[in-house]
Amino acid sequence: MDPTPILQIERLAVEYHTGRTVVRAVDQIDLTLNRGEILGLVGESGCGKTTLGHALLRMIEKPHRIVGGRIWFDNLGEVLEMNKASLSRYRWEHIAYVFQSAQNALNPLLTVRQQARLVIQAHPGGKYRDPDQRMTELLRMVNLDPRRVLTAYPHELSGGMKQRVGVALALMLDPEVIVLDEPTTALDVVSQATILEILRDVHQRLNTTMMFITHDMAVVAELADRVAVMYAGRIVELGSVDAVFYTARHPYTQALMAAVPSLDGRPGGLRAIQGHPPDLRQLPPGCRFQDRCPLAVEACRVREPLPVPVGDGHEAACLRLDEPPLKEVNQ
Amino acid sequence: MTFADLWKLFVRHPQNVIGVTMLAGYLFMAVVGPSLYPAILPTNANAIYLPPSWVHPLGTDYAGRDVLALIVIGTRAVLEVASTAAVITVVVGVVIGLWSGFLGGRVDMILMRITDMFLTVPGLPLLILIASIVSMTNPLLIAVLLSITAWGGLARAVRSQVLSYREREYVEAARSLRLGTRHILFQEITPNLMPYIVMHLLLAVTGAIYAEVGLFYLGVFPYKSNNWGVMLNLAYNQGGAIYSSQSMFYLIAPMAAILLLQLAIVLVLRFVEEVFNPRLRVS
Amino acid sequence: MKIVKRAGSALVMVFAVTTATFFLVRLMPGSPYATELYQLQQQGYSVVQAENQVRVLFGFAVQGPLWLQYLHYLGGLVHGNLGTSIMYPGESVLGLIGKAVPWTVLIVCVSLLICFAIGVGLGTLAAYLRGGWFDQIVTIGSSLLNGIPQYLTAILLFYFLATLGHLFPIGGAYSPAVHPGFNLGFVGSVFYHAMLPILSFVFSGFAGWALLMKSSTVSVLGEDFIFTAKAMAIRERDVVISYVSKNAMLPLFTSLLLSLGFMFGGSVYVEQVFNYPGLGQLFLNSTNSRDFPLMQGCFLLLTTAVITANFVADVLYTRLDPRIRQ
Repeated sequence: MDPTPILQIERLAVEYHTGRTVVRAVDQIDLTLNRGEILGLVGESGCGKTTLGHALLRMIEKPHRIVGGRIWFDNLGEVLEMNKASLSRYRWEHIAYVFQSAQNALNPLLTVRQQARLVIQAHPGGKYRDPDQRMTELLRMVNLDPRRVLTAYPHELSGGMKQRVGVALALMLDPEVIVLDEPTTALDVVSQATILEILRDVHQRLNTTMMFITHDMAVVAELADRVAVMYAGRIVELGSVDAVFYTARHPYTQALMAAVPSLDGRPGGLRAIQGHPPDLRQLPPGCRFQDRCPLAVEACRVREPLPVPVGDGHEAACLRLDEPPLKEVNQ
Repeated sequence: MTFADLWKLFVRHPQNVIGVTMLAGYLFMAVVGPSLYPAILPTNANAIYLPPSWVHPLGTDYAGRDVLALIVIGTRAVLEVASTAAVITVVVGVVIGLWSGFLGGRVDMILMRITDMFLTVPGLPLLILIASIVSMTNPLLIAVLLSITAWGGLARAVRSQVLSYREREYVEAARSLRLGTRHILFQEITPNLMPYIVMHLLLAVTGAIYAEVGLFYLGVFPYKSNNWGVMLNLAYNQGGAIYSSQSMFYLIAPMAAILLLQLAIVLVLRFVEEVFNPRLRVS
Repeated sequence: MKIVKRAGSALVMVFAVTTATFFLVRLMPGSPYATELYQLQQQGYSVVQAENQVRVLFGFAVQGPLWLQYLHYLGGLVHGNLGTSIMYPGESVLGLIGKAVPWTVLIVCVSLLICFAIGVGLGTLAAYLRGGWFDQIVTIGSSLLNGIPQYLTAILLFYFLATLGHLFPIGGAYSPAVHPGFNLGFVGSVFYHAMLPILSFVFSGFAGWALLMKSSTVSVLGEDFIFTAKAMAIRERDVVISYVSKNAMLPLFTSLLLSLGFMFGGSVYVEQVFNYPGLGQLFLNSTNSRDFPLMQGCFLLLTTAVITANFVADVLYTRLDPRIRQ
């Protein structure tokens, strides 16, 4: 079955203004989300992946600003040109968000039920009218006891439970797309596994399209269909999980893979990436990875690499794709 | 930070210059002022409540005395007591806060109980009560009295700062080097509290001025010399000044003196905050 | 359980202040008891007569060992006996205080509510419009107004609006021409007389609330859950009420009661300036006339009011914040 796009991003750019300096947190992003897929968005902290996630809901606030590009949503059209009313419906009815810090994403002074009610009240045109019934159903889906959780305040729930409530709230209005921003990061290993299990289950039942933002490659390998690798505000490699994991073409992706312990536990081969990401305020001309790249040549300091297809649905933005891969990793 | 940096920061905002100049003016008035006038100001029954003129820039009071002279002479009386009170307040607050935070345990509990008690008892009534029992003729005694109700907040603040510093690495390091408690307290922790202490000192001066002038205004302290509070008291209670528009300058002058001093201190405080807190410099 | 514990510590506090006041007044050089005793003897009373007189005045025996005096004093307190006033002969301290307290409660509570409302309004607006001209005006204006002593605003208002402007009365709680009771004339007169005292409190009080509310709101606006609410497209009104204000005002409620206690103390200034017959003025008059039984009684009441306010604030806070509520 051919993939049908549900969300398309074209040449999106987001800037961040502080005093006199301008930082381009997200630059020239092209990305398509297909209906029903799980896309993993990976990269180091500060690479702009959370900003990109926010941009999908047009949740870009001062001092951030969207300075160019398009976000096109199936049936609804251009997100960046929506008026206030349609934006209010777009958010949460069509695209929902599960936040990074489960700790503070919920209002500490309202019970889970009260927060669910406010969501339903804010969307009178949505599919569901009875917040209690809907929330009960969803809490069951995320393996929580509705009798206990519905009337609980956030502080009465564990981190993992709060994250599951976050997932349930995101599903409230049965959105087509959910953006999950590091939903497992602050959790212990067992809660992480539970959340991943629940997300897989939800995806199977509802076929919700998911964009999964993380820096954890193992999580991506476990859950995602495709993966996009971000570096310093740009997507440097994009492809199916198999393609990117086993035949990574961009030196950054290759380095990223080498920094992950292999699942079968073979010793050796574990390498950290040398150096630091470039200062986004003063980007060098040419490739952004040049200072850390073992393959960098003179051309990399002059020409900006553009994404080129390197396989079926697999593309990478590097000038030295003709070079043989550095080393076979994780094979 | 070098002196040049400090100077650059200082002249960047005109309000810094205004504030410091005003404060310096008050200090000058307090130091030099009283010697410009005779010890006992001449009274003149024919020159009561005169409007401002070249001879009397702020007019005259109910006895025909020059209001400007009264204000200038009062500055020393007010600042003397207020700054002594502020120093006592800060010393007591810091010492108790440091002790309590550093020693912890039972000492901490007892000290904080006492602090809470002083924080809870309403300050003004307590001052009035004590002043009515003990005769407050000595400026130093007044300063001590004023600081009684003021040190609690600082002690609590210093204590919580110490608690947060206590666990930091350099204190841990000092401890592992077996440097004594005194060394840790005064060499490692106190320097970090300096900004805090300086700002509280300025705030304590303001608080002490308010309380002092207020209590003199209420007539709770017996007065030997003139100060702004005494002026207010006399203006309100004597010679019908409060019922006459002629006495406006006499009545308003001490209030303006207090408010301008307050303004000067607020401006200086902002500058000090800017010096100590680099984050504020950006905007 | 916690409430019982807090109530216990509040009671201990009241007890401690009572004790401290007793010994303070008793042991200070020039003790009022000794002075009173001496004065009565000077006036020709015999030692026994003078002692009896003083016992009536202060509500407990003056002679005998100190601990016995103290027990008598405590016994009197338990029975609501605070002694008899010196400057108002024949009047019990409790009765005098009872007559004064309602006026103080009236002006203090009304002003506090007004201060709170204005402060919360300005603070919220300034926080939403932070960085703009409105915020600048509110923040700078508030930091200048904040802490201007009540006696200054009171004297200025009294001078310009009451004595020079003749717009407001220059003293009393109501006009002698009206009959106390629930009638329009009386209520109107009470408010007319309370207007300037209340204004004095408001002028020197609202700025602090505005600054507090602004900083509280600004920090709440930066919280993740506000971002979530916007992503959920929660209605603007619900965000402001249930998300922002609810969280921002929580810490202010504690301060509300604490400042009630502080304002009770400050009532001394305001009531003195406006010649308003409340507790503050009664206390001040008693100190000026060295009416020690009355003075001690007023002080005890003021302190108890503050301690009670503290206690109620504690309890209320645990009720309002589900994170503390158990």
